[in-house]
Amino acid sequence: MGLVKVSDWLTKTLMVLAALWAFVLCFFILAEIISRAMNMPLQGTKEIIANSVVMIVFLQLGFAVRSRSMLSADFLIGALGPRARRYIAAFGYLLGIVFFAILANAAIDPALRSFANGEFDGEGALRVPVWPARFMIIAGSALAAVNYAILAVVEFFDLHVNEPAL
Amino acid sequence: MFDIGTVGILVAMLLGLVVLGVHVAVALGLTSMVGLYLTTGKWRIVEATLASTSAEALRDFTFAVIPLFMLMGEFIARSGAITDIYTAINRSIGKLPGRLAVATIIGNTIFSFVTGVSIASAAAFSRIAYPEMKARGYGRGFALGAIAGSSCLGMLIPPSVLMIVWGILTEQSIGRLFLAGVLPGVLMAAMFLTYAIGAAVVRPELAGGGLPDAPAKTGSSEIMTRVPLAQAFTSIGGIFAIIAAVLGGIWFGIFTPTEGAGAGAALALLFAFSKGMRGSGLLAAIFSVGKTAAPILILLLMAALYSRTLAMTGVTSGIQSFFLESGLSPYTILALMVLVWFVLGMVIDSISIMLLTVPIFEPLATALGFDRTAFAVVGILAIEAGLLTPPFGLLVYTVKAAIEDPNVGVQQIFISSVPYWLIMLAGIILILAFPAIANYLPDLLF
Repeated sequence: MGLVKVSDWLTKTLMVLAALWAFVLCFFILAEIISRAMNMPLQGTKEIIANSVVMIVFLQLGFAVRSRSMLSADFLIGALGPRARRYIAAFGYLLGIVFFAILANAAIDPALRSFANGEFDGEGALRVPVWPARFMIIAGSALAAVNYAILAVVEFFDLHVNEPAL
Repeated sequence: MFDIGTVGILVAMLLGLVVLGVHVAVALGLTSMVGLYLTTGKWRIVEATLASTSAEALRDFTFAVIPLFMLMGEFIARSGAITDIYTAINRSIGKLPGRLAVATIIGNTIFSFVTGVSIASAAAFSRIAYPEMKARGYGRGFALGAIAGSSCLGMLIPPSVLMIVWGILTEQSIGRLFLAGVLPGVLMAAMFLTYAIGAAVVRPELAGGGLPDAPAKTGSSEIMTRVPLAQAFTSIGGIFAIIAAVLGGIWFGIFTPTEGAGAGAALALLFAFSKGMRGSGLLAAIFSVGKTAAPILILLLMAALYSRTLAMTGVTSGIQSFFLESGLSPYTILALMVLVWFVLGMVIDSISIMLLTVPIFEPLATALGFDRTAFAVVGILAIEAGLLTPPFGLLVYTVKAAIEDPNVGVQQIFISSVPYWLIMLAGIILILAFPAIANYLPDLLF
């Protein structure tokens, strides 16, 4: 249970961070529009925002899994008995672990290479490094796998664990 | 590379996983992995494609448009402006039959211009308009049908998350799609209004019948009396200013959809603060967007992976040549596609449907010679119509959850929503017959 608490805290913190980041983006864009109107375009805004999207999504991924916000079709399992429903849900979460574990693992090499080679996005004066987003993919996917594992255990053994609330 | 066995495995696997309730993103991701492995036979390529797609597919300025437009809608929803507008419309249309239903439909049309999701409209109007209509003795089904039905406009009228996703999936201009939705949206609203007024004339008991217009029977209409005129004017003025700035800016090429969304979110924030939103409301809005935007973006990422897989395995061209050589008329094939959307709309959410079908349907429709813009509007209408039908019409359940009235069954709302989705199907036929309804405005500007 202690581990679940740590993971939930981390999941929630990353989500809050990403939500605030997305909010700040709107001012960033506003600043870009204004500066362009005044004929002094800000360098690299588009690249920063583009990389931010990747970071934000993977920061929020764990929470989306844990808070059961991921989209799914529940019409069939809704019609089943409670026990069958739990087992099928647990199976689905198991697949979630498999997929995101593979993704996290597959992202390691490209991230290391990107860091070592100093991969950049954009051209001109301001160049935005791509490796932070690449490392975020590893961390976000790994956390998603952990959260799928928590959900799978909760469903399979019919445990009652509080979902992290905002 | 096209091999019917591979295609069969992929389609069966994807459908099977989705039906079992596996998260759509995971189902798309795993199916893509299997598809890539079956076609290339190399695990290394699967891993490389996974890693590069996750890093590159979303690394685009355009994708920021989704959370930003959602933020704009959240701020406006929390400003209380919708209640003001609903009241103002109500007062200004006087003694029209079915007045409250009419105000609901018009209010929803206006609200659609600031929100990108139908669910938000359905929930908001269930809380604002339903207590009013109930207090005035409206038939419960009639009242809720009007709310659920007109909420579909949220996806048709810009800014619309569905259009953004469609634009991204098919590499079309989002600004053009936004503009294409306006006339069909207004057309739908007009048809909904005609139905609501007609029904109230033919069967006055649906719309409160002989009950005196004021004061209300029970529960009193505190919403109606609470809003001073000046406040209503500020709300209407504010909302129209935001709509004009955002959509006008996009359409006249002053900024991109993403920039418009960013500016719109900032303006909506100012507006909400001026109308009394506080720090707690701000945080709630930000977190609510965080919770709803991330699953959509993850789905988009998996859809990109799925499209790449479809392209590599040759499924798309395979299905395309199958239909093109089948001897079926283009309209039969189109009817099949609309049917698939309509049926899928009954069981899963709109965005998942688009991700599953559009990468296959859109090239097929283009090959059959259908107009791309009109096809997008038709697709969105068909998917949205499914949200009103049993057994799992999402909008109906949203309305049911939001009204907190144990006396109204889901079934009743489903039955009274029937006219609305029939009207939407009629709209599909109209747009197919006259693609200019969708194309007229975009052709003027682009």
